[in-house]
Amino acid sequence: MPKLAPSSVTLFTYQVGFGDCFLLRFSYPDRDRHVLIDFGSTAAGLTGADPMTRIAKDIEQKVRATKGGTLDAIVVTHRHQDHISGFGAKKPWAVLAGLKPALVVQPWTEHPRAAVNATTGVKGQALREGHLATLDAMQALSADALVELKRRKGGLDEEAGEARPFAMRTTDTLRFIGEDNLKNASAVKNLMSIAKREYLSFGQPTSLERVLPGVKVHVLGPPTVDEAETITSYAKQSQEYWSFAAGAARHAASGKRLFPRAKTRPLKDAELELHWFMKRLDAARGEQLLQLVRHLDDVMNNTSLILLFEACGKKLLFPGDAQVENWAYALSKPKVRALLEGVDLYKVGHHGSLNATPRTLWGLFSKKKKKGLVTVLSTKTGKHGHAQSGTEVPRKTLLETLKKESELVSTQRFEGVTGIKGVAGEKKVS
Amino acid sequence: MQRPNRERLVKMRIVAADPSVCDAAGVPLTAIVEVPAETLAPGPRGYRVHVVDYDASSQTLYAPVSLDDGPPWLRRPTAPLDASVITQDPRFHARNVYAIVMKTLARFEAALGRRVSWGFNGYGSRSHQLKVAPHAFSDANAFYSRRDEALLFGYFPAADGHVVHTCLSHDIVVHETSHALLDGLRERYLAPSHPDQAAFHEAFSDLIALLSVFALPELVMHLIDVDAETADAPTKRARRARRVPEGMLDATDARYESLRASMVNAVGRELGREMSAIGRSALRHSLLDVPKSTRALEGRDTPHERGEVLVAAVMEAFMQVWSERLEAYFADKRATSMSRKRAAEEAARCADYLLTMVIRAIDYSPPVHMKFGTLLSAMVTADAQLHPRDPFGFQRALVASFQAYGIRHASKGTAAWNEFDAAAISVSRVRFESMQHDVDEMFRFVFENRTALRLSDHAFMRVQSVRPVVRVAPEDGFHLRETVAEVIQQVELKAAGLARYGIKAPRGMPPDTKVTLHGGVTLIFDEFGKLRFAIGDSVLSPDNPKVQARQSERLASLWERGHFKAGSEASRRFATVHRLRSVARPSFAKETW
Ligand SMILES: [Zn+2]
Repeated sequence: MPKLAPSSVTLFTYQVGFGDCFLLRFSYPDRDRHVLIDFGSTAAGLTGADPMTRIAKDIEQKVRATKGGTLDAIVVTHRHQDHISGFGAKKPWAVLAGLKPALVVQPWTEHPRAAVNATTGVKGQALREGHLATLDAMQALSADALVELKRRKGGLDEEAGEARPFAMRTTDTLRFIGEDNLKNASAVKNLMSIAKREYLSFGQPTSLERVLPGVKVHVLGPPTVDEAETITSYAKQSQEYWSFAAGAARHAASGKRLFPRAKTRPLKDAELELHWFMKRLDAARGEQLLQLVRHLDDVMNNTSLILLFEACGKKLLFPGDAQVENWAYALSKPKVRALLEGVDLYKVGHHGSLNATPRTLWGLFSKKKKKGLVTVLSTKTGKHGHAQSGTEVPRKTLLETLKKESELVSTQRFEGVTGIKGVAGEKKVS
Repeated sequence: MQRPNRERLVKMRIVAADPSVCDAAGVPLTAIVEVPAETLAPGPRGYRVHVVDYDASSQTLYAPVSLDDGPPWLRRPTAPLDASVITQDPRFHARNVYAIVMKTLARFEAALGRRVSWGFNGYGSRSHQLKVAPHAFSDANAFYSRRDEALLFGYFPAADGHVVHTCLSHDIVVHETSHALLDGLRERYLAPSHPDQAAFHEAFSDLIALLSVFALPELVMHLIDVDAETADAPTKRARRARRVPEGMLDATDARYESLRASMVNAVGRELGREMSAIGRSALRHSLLDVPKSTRALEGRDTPHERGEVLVAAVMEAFMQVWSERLEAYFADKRATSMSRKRAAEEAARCADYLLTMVIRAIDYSPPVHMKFGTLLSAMVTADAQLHPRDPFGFQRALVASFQAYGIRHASKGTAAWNEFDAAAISVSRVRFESMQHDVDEMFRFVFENRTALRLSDHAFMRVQSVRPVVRVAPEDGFHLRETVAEVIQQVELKAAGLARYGIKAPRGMPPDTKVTLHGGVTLIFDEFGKLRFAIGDSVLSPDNPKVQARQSERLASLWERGHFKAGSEASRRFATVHRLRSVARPSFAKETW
């Protein structure tokens, strides 16, 4: 009997505003098997009532479209809201759970802590646990930054009738990144309810290969903190730092005075020569907070799973929001570089931000020369970063290159189209 | 504070290291320092420093502090001081930063023999008053901000809940002040250039901070005591066997190897513990983490990593000279031990001497493109002007230690700059007296002599500053009068046009990229108007291909480090540099879009 293998792979891309949601269909002679990669949105740009439920229903419909179709795995690349929010929402989750997903795949950083103790050896364990503590501290910091944002008054500007905490752009960006980094306890709980779960790091085998016969799945990231030297050194030094940073943010969120008994003056009584400086200092506070949440946002992105699927002679690459630091480890391995040369479909990392498609990686893709490379970009312009600072998402220079050197499918194209329930695009790979 | 107006200096008490460094009684170690006397307004607000205690996290404005009334500890340096005042009274913090900033400014002015300006402009001309916020925000960061004309010190709760104040860390306050002063002395050192230059601001500020801390005999004494108590068992056993009397050092202890080991031990235990978590403990890193090797700079790419090597090289010379001076006490073979106090005073003297050398070196450095080897040449040259006989041996020790860390001096032949051959210079059309303070007169001189000075004829050129200086050798009162001028050159062109001038455009740089090249020389005249040194490079030099080679190298490195990308210039630069020091994040500029 010939080995079971898919005859084709189809990728459904959902327009979720700013976020990721992909459904992979592997068509087999016996039945269609499906893998859902991320299911989140920051809601930005999503319209209509309960969009995530509509998307979940569309996923359900697609899974059930052919006889015996199944949802075989859910891949959760990392814990950012724009990748997991749907898993934590009641109605959409009910729909997905109804499909009885057989497997949940997550990066090693999502391992419940106790289990980490049980399964990892002594080597590197302290470092890993430290890293998990850092991620927790970061999420706490995000939450506290949002509290400060809400609590703050306009300071001296309040006199002039302004109650805005910081400059508009600082405020908006802080809110956007801060909210994306909030803990989503119900998503964690819901995903935990699936019996078979895997927490992966670079090079580990995955049960995805078991649920998808004839498909090879390579885990290219994230490395564990003790594997990659660059990450190790910065994880080590920054662990203590982030706990302090989180403590400082907590204090700031409380709005408590540092010296409750010291003599103070109402802001409005400040001498004129102080006004300029106090306003600058308020602005500096906003920028410092923003800098902090940007750093932690990057670290969180770098926990992303990077998966390479090989099916029907094609290679499909899904790196979540992995940035250069995560990629650096895989890209340092000659075997991995050789593997990446033949990629046919690339899900553009981190919605097309400036540091999530390493130039080295892009240089490896040999099929782009004949426009044989398909790139899939889920993004929403104007939500993240700013052109003036070269941080806009998607990054203009990257976008131009994607258009020029590959066949680019962007979820933005589907905006406002109500066609397939108004949410999806479709790309058949073979 | 009651005092006659003619007093030039007043004494103030500051935290010697940081509040975690305590004496035997558990009280934070303090030191009394001298700062310029002035009639202060509440703040304190003086002629160069204005302390504004505004906390932007809680949006609280604390009352300005007057040093004329209030509790005795606020008015008199010798009045008893409670530990709780040091850690919990914002008035003490305000005075602490005021005193340290003013002390550092005065130290620079004394070393340079003239007034020093801050590096920022208000209403179009140089501002006089630097603002200092001792509790700027609840954040594990502290930085100098040119844009805000200020030093901003954050605070953060430590693991045990007590609050760590960066404004109470002597070396952090000096570090930030040094950024502000260096920015005033060399504004182009903040501009993109060779990786050394980015590292230089950090390393220079670290050096001034460390040497200022070591210049306090109280602190060195404390470190020696700490080592005596905490040295490892074999060291203690050996000391007992040698019968070293209580409170003394013997010849073995004073030798370089043991002295260094003692300092590594004591520093590791005592200094910068609170700040190492935020990556701000320069001494620990340079003493403990930088291997003494000619390949020390390899693989160190971020500014603070590179900077640590420069700090290590200078501190190595410090240890060397200090131990040599202690060895002299044992030249008489009958001498078996010396007091720790004397040893500490020698360290403080060495640190103070070296501090002057490091600061003076700035006047002997080019106005643009600072490299580590340049600092060595500048330090050695500056010191030799006043001390041709190298009394402490620092000129020799620095040359040796820089070599040991793989840093080559920047001059041809010996480490010191070569004197300019003044024969080719024409002074017939200018008046030296005017040249000493008039930029237009100086410019006339420069333009007349552009060929002899080997300055490009086809670049925008201006005289950035002219400063008459009087440098004093305190030992013998010898005065050195000099005039220092900075000449800057600049050209702007497109990447496509670089080749025409012998400069290689970096691989992959789009031909229409706008490129600005800088060059410039520092001119040093003696008191008779004779040009003694011309330090630096023209922006372009048709007859010297090395100039173009250096420009190509800088461009390539800037391109690699992502400097030509939009937004690469952060507005609050040191906030970012210091934050990156904290998170210790590697740089992957080459990989981004
Ligand atoms: Zn610094």
